[in-house]
Amino acid sequence: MNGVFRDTVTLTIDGRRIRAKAGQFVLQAARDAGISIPTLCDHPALEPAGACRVCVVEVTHPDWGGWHGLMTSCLYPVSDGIEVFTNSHTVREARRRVLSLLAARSPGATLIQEMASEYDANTRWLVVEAEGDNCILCGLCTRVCASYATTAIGTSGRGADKQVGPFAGKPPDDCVGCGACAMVCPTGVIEAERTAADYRIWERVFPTSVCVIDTAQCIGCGACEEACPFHVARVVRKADGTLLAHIPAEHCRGCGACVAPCPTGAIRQETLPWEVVAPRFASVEAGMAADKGTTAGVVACQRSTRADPGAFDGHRALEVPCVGRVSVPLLLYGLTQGLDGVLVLGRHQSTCRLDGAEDPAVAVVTQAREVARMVGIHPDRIRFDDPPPGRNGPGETFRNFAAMLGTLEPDILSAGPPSTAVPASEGLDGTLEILDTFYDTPRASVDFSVWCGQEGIPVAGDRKAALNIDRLPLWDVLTRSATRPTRLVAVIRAALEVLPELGVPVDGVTWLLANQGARSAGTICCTLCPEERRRIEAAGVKAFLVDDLIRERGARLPRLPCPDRVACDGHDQRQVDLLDALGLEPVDVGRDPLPDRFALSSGERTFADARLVKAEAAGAHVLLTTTPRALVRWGMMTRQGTWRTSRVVPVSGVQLAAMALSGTSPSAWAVEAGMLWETSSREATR
Amino acid sequence: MHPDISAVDAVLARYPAHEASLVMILQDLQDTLRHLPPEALERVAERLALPVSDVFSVATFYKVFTREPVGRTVVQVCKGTACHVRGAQLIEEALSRELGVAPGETTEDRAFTLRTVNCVGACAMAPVVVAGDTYHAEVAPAKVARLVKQWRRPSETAKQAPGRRPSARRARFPSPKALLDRSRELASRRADLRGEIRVCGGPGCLAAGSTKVLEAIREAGDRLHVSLGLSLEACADTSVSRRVSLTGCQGLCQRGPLVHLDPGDIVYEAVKPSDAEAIVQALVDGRVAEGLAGDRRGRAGHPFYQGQVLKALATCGRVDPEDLDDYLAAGGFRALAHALSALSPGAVLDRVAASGLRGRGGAGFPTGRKWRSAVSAARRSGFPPYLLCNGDEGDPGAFMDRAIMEGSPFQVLEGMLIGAYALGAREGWIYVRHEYPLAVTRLEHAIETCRAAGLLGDRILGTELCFDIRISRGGGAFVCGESTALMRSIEGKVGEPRAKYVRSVERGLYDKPTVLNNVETWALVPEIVLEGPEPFTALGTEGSKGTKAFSLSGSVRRTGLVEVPMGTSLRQLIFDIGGGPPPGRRFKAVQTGGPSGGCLPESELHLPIDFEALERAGSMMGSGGMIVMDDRTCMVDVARYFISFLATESCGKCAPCRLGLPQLSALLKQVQEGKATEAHLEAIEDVCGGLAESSLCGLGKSAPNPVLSTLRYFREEYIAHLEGRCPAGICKELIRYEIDDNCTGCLLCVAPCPADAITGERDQIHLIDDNLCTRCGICESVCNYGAVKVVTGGQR
Repeated sequence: MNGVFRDTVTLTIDGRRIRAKAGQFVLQAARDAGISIPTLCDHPALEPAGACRVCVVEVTHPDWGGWHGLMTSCLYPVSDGIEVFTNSHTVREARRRVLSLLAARSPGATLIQEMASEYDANTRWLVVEAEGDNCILCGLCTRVCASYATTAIGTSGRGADKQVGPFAGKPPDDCVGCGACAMVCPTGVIEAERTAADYRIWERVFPTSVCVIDTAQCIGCGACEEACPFHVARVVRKADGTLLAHIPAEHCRGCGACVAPCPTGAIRQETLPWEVVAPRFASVEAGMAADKGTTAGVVACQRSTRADPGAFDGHRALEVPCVGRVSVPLLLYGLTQGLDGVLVLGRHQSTCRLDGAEDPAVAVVTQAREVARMVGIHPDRIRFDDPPPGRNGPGETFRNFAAMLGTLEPDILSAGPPSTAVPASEGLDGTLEILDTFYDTPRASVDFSVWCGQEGIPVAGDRKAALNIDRLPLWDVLTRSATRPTRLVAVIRAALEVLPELGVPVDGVTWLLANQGARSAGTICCTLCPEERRRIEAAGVKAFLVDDLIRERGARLPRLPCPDRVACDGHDQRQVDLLDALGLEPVDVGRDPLPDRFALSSGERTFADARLVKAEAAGAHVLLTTTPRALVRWGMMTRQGTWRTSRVVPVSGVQLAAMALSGTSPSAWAVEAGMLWETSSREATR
Repeated sequence: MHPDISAVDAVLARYPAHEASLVMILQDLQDTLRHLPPEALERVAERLALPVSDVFSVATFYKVFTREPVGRTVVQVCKGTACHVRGAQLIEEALSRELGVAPGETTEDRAFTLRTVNCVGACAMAPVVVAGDTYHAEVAPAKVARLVKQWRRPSETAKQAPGRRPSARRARFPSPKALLDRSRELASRRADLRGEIRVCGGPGCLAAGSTKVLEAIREAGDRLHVSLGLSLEACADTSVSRRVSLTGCQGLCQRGPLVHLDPGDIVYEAVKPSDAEAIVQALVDGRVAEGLAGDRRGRAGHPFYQGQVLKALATCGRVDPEDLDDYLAAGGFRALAHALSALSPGAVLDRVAASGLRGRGGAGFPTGRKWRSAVSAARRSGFPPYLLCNGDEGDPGAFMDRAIMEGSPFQVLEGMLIGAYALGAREGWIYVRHEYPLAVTRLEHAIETCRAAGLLGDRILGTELCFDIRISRGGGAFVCGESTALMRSIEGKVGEPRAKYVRSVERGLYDKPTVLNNVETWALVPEIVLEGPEPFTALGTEGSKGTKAFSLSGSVRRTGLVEVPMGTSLRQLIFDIGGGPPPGRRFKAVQTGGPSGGCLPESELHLPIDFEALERAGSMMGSGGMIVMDDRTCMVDVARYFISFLATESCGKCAPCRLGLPQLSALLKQVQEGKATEAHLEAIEDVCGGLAESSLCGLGKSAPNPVLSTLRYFREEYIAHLEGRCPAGICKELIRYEIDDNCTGCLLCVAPCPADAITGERDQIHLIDDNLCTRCGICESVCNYGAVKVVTGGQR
């Protein structure tokens, strides 16, 4: 109901001049200005209804000849020159009268009783229901069900006999158990019960798949806590000081939004674990015809499949309770199994979106699209869409998607996908496994130029020296939020700064692929990763490890007035030498126990935690890592968050060199980058 | 029970598979299956691709739908205002006793369902009971038993509503000139007739049996060898020089069945079938039949018709509503032809604006201004406006629109066509309430006829104008007379209004620009466009121009349908035209504006009929219902009547109306029962205040008017109730029935008393046992000696 935002208008609310956008309603304009107006039937996620009449305000205008009107502010549009009074005597009287009526009808509704006493409402002369019905017919439940779910409930009757309920008073077939109605009800009339195994509402029982954390795999990074739309998943401190995520089963809504963000794949949604979901998506059941023009996959929830049955026939549909469950490896895996594209249909179990949040699946799809583009897959093969309202919405969106797939220009998938087995993990390891398939094939067509442009990283020209970044941009995109604030792109920038000072005139980055063969002799190629160096040399190109260059020539770089402490593995001479070369003081905290993969065992994590404790005790604020993969893993473990207590930040050798260049001590860098965080005051819950 | 799904599918096949068809599909299903079982609703939801809970909302919102099967005969007691003041409550109770069920219930043998209905539009013949399709007029409590016996007998239901004639085959008019030529031809043919007999088929006369009178006249014509053509077409044969037809309402409903004759402009009143021969013979002889004419001077001299100026009712009662030729002969569609051939759309707009025409539905919004806003809105949005005709006429006590729709449907269509031309509209709807099936039939017939004649559809009269009209039927909801609720109902949704901060001319039906006008407003448009605004502005007051139609009913000698110039005083209308209260009764109040209006006492009778004057006095013009109340009407009872009416009609969306009306009803009940104090009156005023200031729509906002106006003008009556007296003798808790010494001991009242409360010996004064008496009123209505009195005051 919003008009065109052509202009701002000026109005007065309670004597204050307010500027508001044309097309806004007075209620919103007041809220934006910090003036609160009481409401009963208003909700930020829903179109206003004007049913409760509590939000009335007195409105006048100089041109109205002294006439004042009482308008419901939720629906009254702002306009130039109007004077609004939100708490005048007339307004209070009007609210008093309405609340008296509501209080007489629903004496047991606490919210009403509170508001009633605030406005001196009284029911002395009114008929008070002995066993009142606490439903105040605000309509929030029916409106949210119609806007966000399946219109499973509605009103019946009219006038004083009007009531809310399902068709013919029977348990509604269309209900998908999202619980939005129970969430928005202001008087708690709608009974919804959450047991360990199911969710019961409107006399229907919905088995729920709770999310369970494999604590052995959990590294306490907190990605799940950030992802959970219902604030159920939490990181807590155990008695022994370790941090672990915890999802209380009795509160978990089973949306699965926490599964994808977990970098180690430690979270499992009961009934929809990775080993069930991936093959289901790859299966040839459900009407998939061979040799079709285009075969598309769709991940959708019950609301879409119920609303439009048959919409996805002939293609591959994965029905999940909530599409928040979708993950990057799932989407990419689908493409390797013969799908020309995968569509994720939103707007369903939208209780997670009632506070205006975005569908959790959007972030997953955005990530998948980015990495897909980088490895040569057209990003539009993966899409997220909210279907338009109406029963035919899901089908219409899907058909448009399938049609669009037919128009895409050829890409790496056009000649048939590389076949892969199901990756072992749904976490980062799984994603990287699939991406490696694209990266290492003879047809590989990786392109990081868009990423370079976005990050401001120059691509090497025809000069003789370049920094090979291998898969680092992929990792950067995938771990962008998992490893705050240490990002791989920062490492690349540092290398570009440092290498010329070390005598290697790199002017930008490059990326070599298996199918590119040997380059012309004379090109100097640097790399940050020992593993990668071996691979490049095997392809016949001369490569230098950046850390080696620092060890050899680091002494050229400026030194800090006072040597700063850096934690490292004191028994690895190469690490000690690097630090010596930069004039930093090594602190031995033992060997790096973390493996090459991202998932790890509890023993491995314990050792890692011990290392951090030692470093902190020794006054070292940074921890040296030897490979980009190690940097990312430590970054996840020391990720900045309110629950963090560790004051140690992982760093790579080249970043230390860059700090030397700029004359920043590593400790100061740690502080400047905002990495000092507060001690968590939360105690362990187990 | 498992309904036959094929029956459901058959109904579905009649309508486009679109949400807008929902209400009408459900109505047909209710007629076919006699109720709406869940399986049928699920099927409808499936086929219309609607959520089943939305279908359920609609199926439970409108009063006409039931979840249990209704009986073979549905007995409806009209609870309109006129019927209420003439004792409908007692009739309802009597029927309930006789049938053994409460209102809303069905008898065990499924023979009868008893229901109340909020006005069937036959107010002049109040109180009315409709059994099946048959209207029973002026029912008294004592007659109820006999009526029920009659219904129990195998059907001899008189066919009251005339059967529908098939549309005459006709050619399209290729141009406005062709229409004007034909119009002149037909007018002259009509003028050449040697005689015309017009039998009134208006709501009241139909209820009084006028179709039988028509049959009798035709038979009399046969017997007397007088050729009476039924249509102008039939009279093209020069041997047929006289005509008989059934017209719409001729106005004087109290004295129906009416028969109007030309030459002579004679009105015969209270005509029985046995009078038919006398009428035909008198016509042939060129004289007036003895004892039948209301006034030998014809209508011009008749006190009922003096002072009236018929504009909206110009062709009502003068033409056969199913005969386009008749309408053309009377000058119909000349305005449209003139507009299309000689005026620009802007010029038409100018005429309407200059006339000062204000909406006749009640609000009185200037029509010209509304139309101009719609033109701007349409231009801004890029969508042509929809034109809607509000035929919901939910005000109990109003039947003007019913009469116009049934009596001159072509005039309404012509008004809408001219509006379509001026506004650039292409589609229109006429929303007719469910309680007016004959109006639907007549309008459908008129629309079909117009389509065949090239007056609706594409290239109307061969011009660029393309416009078509559909009918949308209401489902039994007074709130659907409110413009935004009406639009939702057309869309197939529940009739819940929305806040009007954005006007319907900007966003109305389907969120597009929409012009909604009342039936009477549309009917006034043709003359304004043809003759120019001057004849219209010449009548009326400064702020209210032209004429207004009223349904005059209640306690007047001459109830009926009238149209008077604005500015006519209430006194003139009620006493001169209406004849004042019947003998033995004293004028007490006049109620206008329906449930949104108020009651004005004798001291206000000098007021002119004018929008502002009536509003200042605490009432309002309203749609035209005017009910006269006498000393046997209790004003507290009237206030509660209106509030209860509104409580059953409230849509329930907003709290003040949904919750406030039942509270008001309870408070007024306390007053009626003598249990109230001054504090109750203050509480009443407080709740009224809340309704007026906070309600979402006009229904709630104006609901306090009847209460506040009666408190203003009749406060002493309220005080009397606080003191335990009901001066009008209506409120049961405060009255007693007593037999005085006029009693002749005839024993007539003893048997009919349902409570066996009367003891009586022949020739002895009978005695009513006050403890047993249920105040049903039957004894009073059977007594021939006026010996039964209602007294009030003192202990019960």
